[in-house]
Amino acid sequence: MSKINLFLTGIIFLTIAFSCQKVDPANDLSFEEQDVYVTNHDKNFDFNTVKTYAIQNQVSPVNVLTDLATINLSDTVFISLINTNLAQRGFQQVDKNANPDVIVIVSRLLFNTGGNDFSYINRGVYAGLTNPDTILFKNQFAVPSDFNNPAVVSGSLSIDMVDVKSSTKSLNIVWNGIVVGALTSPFPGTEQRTKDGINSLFNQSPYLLAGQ
Amino acid sequence: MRKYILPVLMAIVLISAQNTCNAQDNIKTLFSYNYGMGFATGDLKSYIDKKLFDGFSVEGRFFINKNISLGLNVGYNDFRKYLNREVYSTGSGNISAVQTRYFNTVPVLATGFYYLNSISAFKPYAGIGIGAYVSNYQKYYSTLESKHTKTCFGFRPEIGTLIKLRNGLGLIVSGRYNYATYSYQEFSSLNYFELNFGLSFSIEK
Repeated sequence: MSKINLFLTGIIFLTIAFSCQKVDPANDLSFEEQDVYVTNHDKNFDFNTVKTYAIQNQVSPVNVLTDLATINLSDTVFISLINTNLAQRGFQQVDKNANPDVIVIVSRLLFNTGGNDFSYINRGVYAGLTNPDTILFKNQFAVPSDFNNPAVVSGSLSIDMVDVKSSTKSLNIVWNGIVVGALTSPFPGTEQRTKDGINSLFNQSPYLLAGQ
Repeated sequence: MRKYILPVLMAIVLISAQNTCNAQDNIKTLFSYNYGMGFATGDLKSYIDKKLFDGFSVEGRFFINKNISLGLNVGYNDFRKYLNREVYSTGSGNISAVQTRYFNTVPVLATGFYYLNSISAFKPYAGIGIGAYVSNYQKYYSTLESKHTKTCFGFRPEIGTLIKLRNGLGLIVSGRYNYATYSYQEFSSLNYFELNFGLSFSIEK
C-alpha cells in the first residue's frame, strides 16, 4: 500500500471514530444528578407584604390523559412539605375564603407519557390545556416577561404563588418553582426525589420570606 | 498513559536517528497525523478549569523548496468538565442542577512553514496557520442543553521539528498556540496551547 493510501485510510478511520462520538450527559449522570429544580420570581414584588396563603389540598394534573386526572397518594406528602416550607418562612395558611394574600397552586405536568421537552409557564392555560385550579379564577393570569424555564419534561411538579390582592385586571404569578421530571421518571425514588426538589426550590429562594 | 508517550517517542527517535542519513532536504510532500495535548489559557481555562484536553489533526505540507512549505491542517480538539450540583442564577430566578460543559473546536487552517537545514535527523521549523475555527459550545444543566456553534477567524503560530526515521516515515514534535475570535457567554476569545506529536509520511523528490 502506498504512503498516500495508508494516510487516507487512516483519515477514514479517524473520521468514522469521531463522527460516532455523541455528547449525551444523561449517559454519564446518575438519576439524582439528572433532576433539575427551576425557580422564577417577580423582582418587583415585595414578599414582605405577604402574610397569609391558601392552598388546595391536591396536586392538580395538567395533562392530555384524563385517566391520570386523579388524586395521587403522594399529593398529600407534597402539599404537606410545601406547607412546612412556607411555615418555616413565616407564611400562615388560611382558608381560601379567608381573604388570603396569595394562593398557592400545585400542578402535576403530564403532557405525554413518553416524556418530552417543553417550556412551561403557567398562564392559566397551556397549549389548550387548562389547569383545573386556574379556571376557578375569574381574571387572567399574568407572568413577568423574564420568567423562564429552559425546558421541563413530562412528569414535572410545578408550584405557583399567585398574588390575589394587589392585582386588578390580572392575577400575577409572583413566584414559580418546578421540579423537573421527577414525578414519572423511569428512575426509582420518584417521591423522595420530588420531595428533595421541593425543599431545594424553597432553599434556592431566600427572598421568599413572609412579612411580620 | 500520557506519561509514557514522551519517553517512548524519545526512545524511537534516538534509535532511529542513528540509522538515518542527514539529508531531509528533498521532501516534496509530507502528510501527518498528530496528537495534541492541549493546555487551556484565558477564557477557555476559566470555562473548564482544567489544564489538559485531547485533540488530533491531519495535515498536508507541500514543499516549494527545501526551506518553505505551504499546506492544509484540519484538526479537532475536545474537552468536557463536570460540576457538582449548584444553584445558578438566571434572569428571573435560579436553577439547581449539575453542570456538564463541553467545548470542541475544529481548526481548518492554511499553513506556511520555514525550515532550517537538517541537523542529523532533525529539521527544525517555525510557521503559522491561518483560517477558520469551527467552535461548538455546549453547556448542560443536568439534561437541559444550552448550545452555541460558531465559525470564526483564528491563527496558530507553531514551532517544532521534523524527525526523520526511515522509509519516508518520520515524527513531528511541535508547540502550537491557538487563538480564535470566538465570543459567547464566558468567552471573549478562544486561546489554548498545544504540545503536538505527529507521525509523518513523506514523499521525496
